[in-house]
Amino acid sequence: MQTTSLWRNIIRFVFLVLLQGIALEHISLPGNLHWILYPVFVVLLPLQTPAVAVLLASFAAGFCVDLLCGVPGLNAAAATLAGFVRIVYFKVRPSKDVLHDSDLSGTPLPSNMGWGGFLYYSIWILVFFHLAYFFLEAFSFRHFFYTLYLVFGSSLLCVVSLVITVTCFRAGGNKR
Amino acid sequence: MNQILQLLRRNLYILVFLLLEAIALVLFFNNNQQPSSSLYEFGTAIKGRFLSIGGDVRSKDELKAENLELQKENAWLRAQLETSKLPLRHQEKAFRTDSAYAQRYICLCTRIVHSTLNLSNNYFILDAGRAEGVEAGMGVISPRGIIGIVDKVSEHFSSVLTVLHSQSLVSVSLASSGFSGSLSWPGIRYDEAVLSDIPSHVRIRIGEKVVTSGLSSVFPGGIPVGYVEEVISEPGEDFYRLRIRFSEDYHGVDQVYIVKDLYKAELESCRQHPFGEI
Repeated sequence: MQTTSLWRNIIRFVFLVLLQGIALEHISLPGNLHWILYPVFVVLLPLQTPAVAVLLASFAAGFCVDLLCGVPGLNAAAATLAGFVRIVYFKVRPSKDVLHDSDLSGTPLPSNMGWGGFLYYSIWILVFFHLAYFFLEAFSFRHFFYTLYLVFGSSLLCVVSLVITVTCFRAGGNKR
Repeated sequence: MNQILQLLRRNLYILVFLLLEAIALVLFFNNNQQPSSSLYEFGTAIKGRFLSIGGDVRSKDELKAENLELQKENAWLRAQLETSKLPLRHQEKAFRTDSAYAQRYICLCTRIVHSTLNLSNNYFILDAGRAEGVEAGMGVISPRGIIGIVDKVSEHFSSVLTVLHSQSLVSVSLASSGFSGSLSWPGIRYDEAVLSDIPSHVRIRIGEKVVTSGLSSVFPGGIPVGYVEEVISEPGEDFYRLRIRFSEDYHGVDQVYIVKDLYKAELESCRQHPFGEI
């Protein structure tokens, strides 16, 4: 059980990083939005993952995306922050309070957190990721509201993609 | 002692977070102005492999349009061949030459292997490097416009500081009147730029062509840059700001040319010793 979960996360890591670096980074969307999907990896890490491992995994994911496409350090910094937000989230709201069942070994999913809880949890992580990403990238408050628009537009896109993905895998009966 | 250790262990994640974030930020600030070529080489090598597996997903239509563009360009280049020219004394003006007989600029044909458009500092990576004779500071043009200036060069790749960069500044002029100003990019839209320092007594038509001025040795003069879309005049200002629409669609550009000025060294030594011996 432990090893399958580990492998599942490694596969998810590789898949999301490659998807981001090879495909999504090159899609230009109307309104200049960015489609950044790989932080979903941080959202879906197993609940009992140790805090340091969460940080290292999110840093690694960001760093790999940086290698494939872009400004070195940008994704690494934003993803590490996302990992930190996740840890703080579970410190403030311990996972046994958030979860409906007492199974702590699984992945944070609507099935064990409820849709409301799951969305609330993922929006925190994803919005912080996008905040760090866009403000670091622009590195000025010159276009403050435009940057805010990018943050929330792109976060929304990411949340919608996450919901669709989670629903599809649920429908497939595959407990990812 | 035990308590301190326990406290440390409980808050280890904060230390790790600060450490990782510091590493990421150092990476970011060290490379912000110029993405490191070695990282890119590594990245493009991986990406190239995957892209060749997946095949190029560019649509057939787009390729057709691109071929047509290349054919046109080839035709134009053919016309520039010595064999297709009249003896020079019969010609009024020789293109891109500083005297009637000498070639000043040569072009190296290359492709864009990586590009960003939606950042506030956009770079393109070209698949030509030191091995092909590329040097930092050379201009990069495309069939329909200008791309930017070569910034860093590795053995087989080079990164271009594009006109879509917050620090990009290109000397351009209005095609009809010849008045020159500097072109910068205000950010946000990748099809628009701002041309400043045009004196307010100049008459400007909307839709007027903007070309490179040829005042620097980066770009030859007369390369199309864009069209005037709006004239912004602030009361009390002696200079206009013009909103320019780029003639090149940076989203679809693929084949580009690196321009080499054969007289650059001579020109630069002239600039450095304006009054002394050269």
